[in-house]
Amino acid sequence: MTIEHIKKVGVLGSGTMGGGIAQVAAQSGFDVLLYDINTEILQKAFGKISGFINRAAEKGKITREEADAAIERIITTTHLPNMAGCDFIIEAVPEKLELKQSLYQELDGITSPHVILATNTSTLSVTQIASVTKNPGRVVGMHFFNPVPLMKLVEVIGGASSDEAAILTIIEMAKRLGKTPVVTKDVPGFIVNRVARPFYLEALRLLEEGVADHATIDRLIREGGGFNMGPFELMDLIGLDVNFAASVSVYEAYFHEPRYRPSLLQQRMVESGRLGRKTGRGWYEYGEDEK
Amino acid sequence: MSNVLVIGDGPLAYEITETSKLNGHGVTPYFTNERGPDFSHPYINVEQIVSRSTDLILEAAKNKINYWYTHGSEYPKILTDIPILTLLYTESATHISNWLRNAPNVIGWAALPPFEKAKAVEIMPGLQTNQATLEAAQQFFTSLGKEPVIIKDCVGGVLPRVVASLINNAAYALMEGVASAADIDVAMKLGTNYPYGPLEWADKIGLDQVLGILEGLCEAYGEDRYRPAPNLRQLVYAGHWGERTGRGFYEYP
Ligand SMILES: NC(=O)c1ccc[n+]([C@@H]2O[C@H](COP(=O)([O-])OP(=O)(O)OC[C@H]3O[C@@H](n4cnc5c(N)ncnc54)[C@H](O)[C@@H]3O)[C@@H](O)[C@H]2O)c1
Repeated sequence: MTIEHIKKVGVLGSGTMGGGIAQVAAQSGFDVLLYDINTEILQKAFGKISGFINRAAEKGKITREEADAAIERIITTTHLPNMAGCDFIIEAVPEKLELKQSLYQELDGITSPHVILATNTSTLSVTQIASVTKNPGRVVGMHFFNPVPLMKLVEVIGGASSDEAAILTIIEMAKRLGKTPVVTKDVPGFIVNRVARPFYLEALRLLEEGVADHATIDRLIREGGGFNMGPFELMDLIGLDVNFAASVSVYEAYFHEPRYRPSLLQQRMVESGRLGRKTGRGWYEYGEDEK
Repeated sequence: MSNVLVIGDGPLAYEITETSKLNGHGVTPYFTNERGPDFSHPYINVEQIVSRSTDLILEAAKNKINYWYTHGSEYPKILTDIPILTLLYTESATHISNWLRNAPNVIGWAALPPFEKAKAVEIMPGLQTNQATLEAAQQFFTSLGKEPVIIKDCVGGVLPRVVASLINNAAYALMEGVASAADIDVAMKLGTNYPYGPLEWADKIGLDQVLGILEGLCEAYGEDRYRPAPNLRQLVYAGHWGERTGRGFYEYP
């Protein structure tokens, strides 16, 4: 299906990413059908989304009319067969292969084969998700970044079986949502989560070696290199557990490529419960208001 | 101010020459490889380029052995009192001092282009470095409006080592056809907020310099994690060293 035919977008999963995608799609003029497993979750998600949109109106970023129209364009459902009315589907359910695969199999019997299915997976293989469906050609990766309304980047991932036309439609779709698409192969970590690994891993190495303490390393990266945040500050923000898990996953996925070898020191930090801002302590300590 | 001899073969050397002049230093530049590979200088006798009025030697060169390895049994007299600030992309300060008969007037430093934007510079005393040399290095970078930050002597320092590793990793992704150079750079700027994409940054630093850092790390640590991407090496062989040669990962018509 080409971009001109897309009016109604289905979003599966109304969590951090699904909610953000639904918001951006509605604000970009699409009708949105937001799906999740129960109504409480959907109500919460809808409350959050309308809250963000209303705040944008209060700040004068959009008009009141635009805000009301965007909120009105979002409908929620717990009934997957309702996705039959959507021209494009973006999936943002939890990062579990079997869960994603079974949803895609159900969609085989619900949607027209021309409807593109975009997965927001961060670490799974698009090729593998697509492999269980009747039409693997229509399954393409569309990797948004958190928070979706603020982050401009979308990685468009062509799996081994993805149709060229479907990839092109996703690129157009990303642009319609006000994003900058980049095209990548279906490799673990895609571009960003792969290429960024040494930012953390080399910094951890330097710390383990005693070249400098974590605060000095952060400062040299910021003040010497012009980065907005140093690697240790960023790990604290992301969560040391999340960051460590990402390194382990990339390391495993590349069959123990030495460039991606995780840090023992970071593992100990995770084991000790110093996970970063969210626990009040990671590499740095945080007050109540900084969490 | 002081008379500085700047020895170098890359954008950082050219830039620091300008910054030193702007800050009132008398600067004598000694450059090689300004337009790419230059095969005419296999061995440079620093004794012959340094003058009696030189107060400080700022070196930012790869192939340092061509400058600093002392062939004679004696430490060259003229070099004994002058602080030698050597850029630690490829060896540690301790190692370079060793070439100069364990000279105490050798100290390491590290930064990356664009030097203009750097607010801090890394200073790395070797095991042999004396206090006077450390102070001279601190004073010099302070005079350029940069904050000197002392860290432990090592190859690549903090910033060059982290950025060279990012560049290497991006080069592998490019070689493997994961995405185009432009898409890799855009992704890293928008997805992680980096000041430059790793490949465009490599073109500013000089691909020869980046390869030097990676080879230096390989040599110092003997670990596979630093092995340079083959496509980076190929570009260096071809003389595609980045912005200054008109071509690197990108072309600069
Ligand atoms: N959080 C991030 O920073 C981020 C960034 C990029 C991509 N991703 C990817 O996006 C996806 C979603 O991540 P998230 O952070 O939004 O997770 P989340 O936990 O915030 O949201 C997941 C949502 O899916 C719902 N859900 C669970 N089972 C479901 C089912 N069977 N059918 C429909 N919905 C179901 C949950 O109720 C929840 O609302 C994952 O694949 C993740 O890897 C996350």
